[in-house]
Amino acid sequence: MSGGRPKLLWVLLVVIFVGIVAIQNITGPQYEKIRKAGMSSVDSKDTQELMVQLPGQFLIASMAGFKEVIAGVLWVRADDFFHTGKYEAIIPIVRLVTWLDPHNVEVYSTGAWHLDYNFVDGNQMSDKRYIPSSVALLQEGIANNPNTWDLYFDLAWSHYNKKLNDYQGGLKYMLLAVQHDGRDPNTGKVIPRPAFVDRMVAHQYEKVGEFDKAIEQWKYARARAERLIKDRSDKTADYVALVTCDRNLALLYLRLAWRYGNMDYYRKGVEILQRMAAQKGTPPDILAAAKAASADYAKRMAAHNPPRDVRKPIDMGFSVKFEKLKPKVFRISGTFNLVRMSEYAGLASECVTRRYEEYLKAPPDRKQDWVDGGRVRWMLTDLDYKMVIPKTFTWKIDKSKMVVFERECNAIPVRSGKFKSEPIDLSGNDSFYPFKARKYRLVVWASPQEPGADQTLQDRVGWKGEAYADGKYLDTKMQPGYRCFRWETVLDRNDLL
Amino acid sequence: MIIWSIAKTTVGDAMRRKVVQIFLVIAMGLILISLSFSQTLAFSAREGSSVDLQLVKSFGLGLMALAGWLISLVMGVSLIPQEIERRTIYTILSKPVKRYEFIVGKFLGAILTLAICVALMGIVFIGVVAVKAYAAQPAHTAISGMAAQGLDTAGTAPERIQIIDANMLIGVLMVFMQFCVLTCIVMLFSVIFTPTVNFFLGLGVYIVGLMSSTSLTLLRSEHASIFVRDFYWVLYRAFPPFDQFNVTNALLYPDAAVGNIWVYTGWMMLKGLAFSLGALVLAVLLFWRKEV
Amino acid sequence: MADAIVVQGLTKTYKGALGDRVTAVDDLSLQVVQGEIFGFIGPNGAGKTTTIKVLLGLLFPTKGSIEVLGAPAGDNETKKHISYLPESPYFYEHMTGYEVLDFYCKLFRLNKVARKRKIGELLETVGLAKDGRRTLRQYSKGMLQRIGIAQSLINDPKLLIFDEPTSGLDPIAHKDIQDLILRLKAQGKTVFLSSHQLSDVEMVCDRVAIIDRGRLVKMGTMEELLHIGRTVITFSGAGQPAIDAVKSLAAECQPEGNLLRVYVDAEEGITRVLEAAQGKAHLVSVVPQRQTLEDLFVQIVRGARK
Repeated sequence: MSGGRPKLLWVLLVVIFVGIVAIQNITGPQYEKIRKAGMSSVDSKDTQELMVQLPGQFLIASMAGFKEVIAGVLWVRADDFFHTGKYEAIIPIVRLVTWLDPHNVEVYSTGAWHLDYNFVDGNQMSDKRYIPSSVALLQEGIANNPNTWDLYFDLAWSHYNKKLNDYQGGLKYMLLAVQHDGRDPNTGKVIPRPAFVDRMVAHQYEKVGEFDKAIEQWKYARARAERLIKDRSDKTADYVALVTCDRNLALLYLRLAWRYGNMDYYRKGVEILQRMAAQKGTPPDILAAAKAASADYAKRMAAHNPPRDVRKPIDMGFSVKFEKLKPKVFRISGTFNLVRMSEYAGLASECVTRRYEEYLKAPPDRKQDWVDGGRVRWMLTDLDYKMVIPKTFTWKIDKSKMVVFERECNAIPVRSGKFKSEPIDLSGNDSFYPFKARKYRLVVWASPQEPGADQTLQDRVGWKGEAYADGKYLDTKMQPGYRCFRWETVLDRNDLL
Repeated sequence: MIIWSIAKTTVGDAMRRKVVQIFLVIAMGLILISLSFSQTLAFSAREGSSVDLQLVKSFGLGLMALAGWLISLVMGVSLIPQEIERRTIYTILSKPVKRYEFIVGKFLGAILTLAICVALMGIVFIGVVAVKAYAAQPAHTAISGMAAQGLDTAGTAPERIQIIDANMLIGVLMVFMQFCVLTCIVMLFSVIFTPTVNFFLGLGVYIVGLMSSTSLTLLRSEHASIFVRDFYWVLYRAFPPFDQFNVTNALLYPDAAVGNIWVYTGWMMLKGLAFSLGALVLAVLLFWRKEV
Repeated sequence: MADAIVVQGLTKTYKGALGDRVTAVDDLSLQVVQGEIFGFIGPNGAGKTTTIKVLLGLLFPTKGSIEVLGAPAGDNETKKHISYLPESPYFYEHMTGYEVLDFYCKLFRLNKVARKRKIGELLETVGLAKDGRRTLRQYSKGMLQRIGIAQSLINDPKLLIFDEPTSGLDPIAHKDIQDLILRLKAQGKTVFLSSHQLSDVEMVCDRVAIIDRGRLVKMGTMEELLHIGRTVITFSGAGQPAIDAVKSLAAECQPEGNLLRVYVDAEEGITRVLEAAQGKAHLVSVVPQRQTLEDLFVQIVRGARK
């Protein structure tokens, strides 16, 4: 082997180089897309500040293909912080992990839940100033993971519905949720979203009073559940989904009929109940409802007597009293005629609910003359406070501001026409309740959309409070289309301290 | 026959090196240990949520990459120099063995060794992922705790997670091809440089290659001078883009991936082959008149 | 028939660590005839290994030309007919003796049947038939050397280049190697032997070249190199007159008790000394003093260094 190097090899080298350049031109742009897909689409000042503090080897490790590992380990570490009560430490970890691994849906969910539910004072009241942060975090999660239903639904249900009681906001995100399916967490293969998601949209339509859409949604949810049963091998549980859809649609029809007199809806509701009753294994309450509703429907049809339970206005006698008990401790009380049992006499819904009958049959010591279960809500904020959802996630809140409202499902209960809160004690936590402002706004209100209220209340007052009447505090502006009660006052700092 | 014989001998020699065996065993052992990750998080917003599967996948892929990196460097820097140092090369090249046959045989042997190591780790990894997927919670996301009050989840049949994730094979292939390229480059350098110099050179090439995206950004920068842009153009073209083999995020979250990952993998295999072949041809040319 | 090896004006220089040039072989010329055993000796660092590597095409000459079996050094076709046993050969430890030989057989493109037969023969030849299935890690130095020899015989070469073939061997193994080399010569093969075991070289080689500091110092047949020696004439009863008579005719005179030893270099000198000493001393013996190769080697190398 003497002599010069063969020219052929040099030529081959050039050909290979040209080939590499050609392939680079194909894979380069493809990789850019893959790389960007693995990066958060949202950047924020907080992220930049946090990145500057990161040690160099962290950044090298994240470049060398270990960022998901680091994210996973950090996230597990955050669990330790939870166990030891170091809740504040969890939030920067949420930020780091979502930067390293923006497709980890779990982190957005848990981080937002954590912000909204776990920063609590001694009375288990959460710090409402974090609500905008939690919403922004989930919105960022949605921007980075737009193709699955999870985060849309989470934002709608856990935050808009449960925290903000903003059902229109919740509906917006629920409608986005049902445009997407889920993913197998192992292979990423598309798996159908769970049946309950579509049902929750129907419930949400009912909450916001869009009944026609609610009806269509129940039908759609049922058809979808049928399709899922057909496509899957495990059919058992899904038949419950069909029953649930049928029951809810039937009740919707019946309620629309009872409350507003739509006999066509009454017929449809009765037909569904009869169909259900004809099947084997139907629960007894459905059997009883089918029988009673059928009979009532037939009777009303014969008598040309459509029902109209939500007719007579009720003077609700809404009044509110604010009382300072001690510095930073106060009480809210008042009156609210929600609702005497006598209002239930002769309601069309009675044929199924048997509410009035139960009342009549109850022994004297157990007889309640009021339909308890309604609630009155309150909110105390700095006079100039506005809840603004930031464009990008930040956990830094203005701790000089104050915004307080009652515990989520524990708005002030109304009993026997009166309501009286437990002492509202804001004295134990200067961080949550800084009392820096000079003026405060206290709003006390009641809405027919009340969570936790007895369903039969709306049978009498209507979905949108159509039967509500009041001389002083009736408000039709705070929730367009709804008749609410609203009492508001401006308090001085001295009124609270 | 000559090339294959040299390759087989190289595989036998390399696989028996303690360093290679240690890295391989540790990597496989750690991947197996990840089976014990059982982190059902107490503070999760999701009912029964477990991060195990994603952690096991990212951990396994990361470990294979780390082991592949170490094995490539350690093996590649010494395979040829050791032949010269131990003088085994004399009894080979004194026979009617062409120089290119020797080099090609050594390269092939190194690549086969890497393939065996990655295959072993890959089998353990895919097995562990399958076991974890089998044990994982059904793919049904409900909201937990107080937030779940009022949520009607009746009649929702949980989806079973698919056990075998074929996409993990992509991860294994990418690890193999990435370090096949690194091995070939380090072996190319070993024709000229000593093992110590070569080790750091190889490390440097790998690190520069990991920043190919940065090079691309900088060469496109409108503010940079023409010299800076030309410099980054050379870096981008000449150095293998090792970061482009890292598609871990796309594998963990296929739903968020853009484009067909299998097509991309095919192109990357071709690119890796081209780089490896280029290194091999250059090594043949350099070794042609190398004095041993 | 072409000479087995023809080296003309071979010079090999290296670039040193500091950029200086180091000449390992300087204008070396020699020929090795086919069928002879050629000894190639020199002190450490003389350039022996460099020369051998150039012959094998492992190194490339800075100047000069080298032909091996009629073709330029390093020619692949020629390598089919030559073999090389390096000093202290190292093989892949994880392989058995059988596997190593099998590997080398494949380098000669022997098929499976031919390999099996050849390996059996070779293991028998070198006395490792029973140890063929043991790994080389378990072999002693002598056994490794035998495997080295075995691999050098695979292709039934015309030219064998041995570098220190008996290094580290016990006397019996030593003898076996000597016998082997002589057998090879009897088969008409050419052996190029580089060794520090000068007794071996002296015993088996037909011709020897001595190099020092890269240069050829002496080359010739054994007879040419070693018969340039002295004759020792021993007298008894030699008094001063006898010493005076022979002193100028001899290279050296050494009284030893009542004996006088007179060293004469040339043959004609013997007669002159005898005539001069007649009647003055009693002749005890006339013995040709034959130099060993070692003596010659030391003499040459030390002389060159002065």
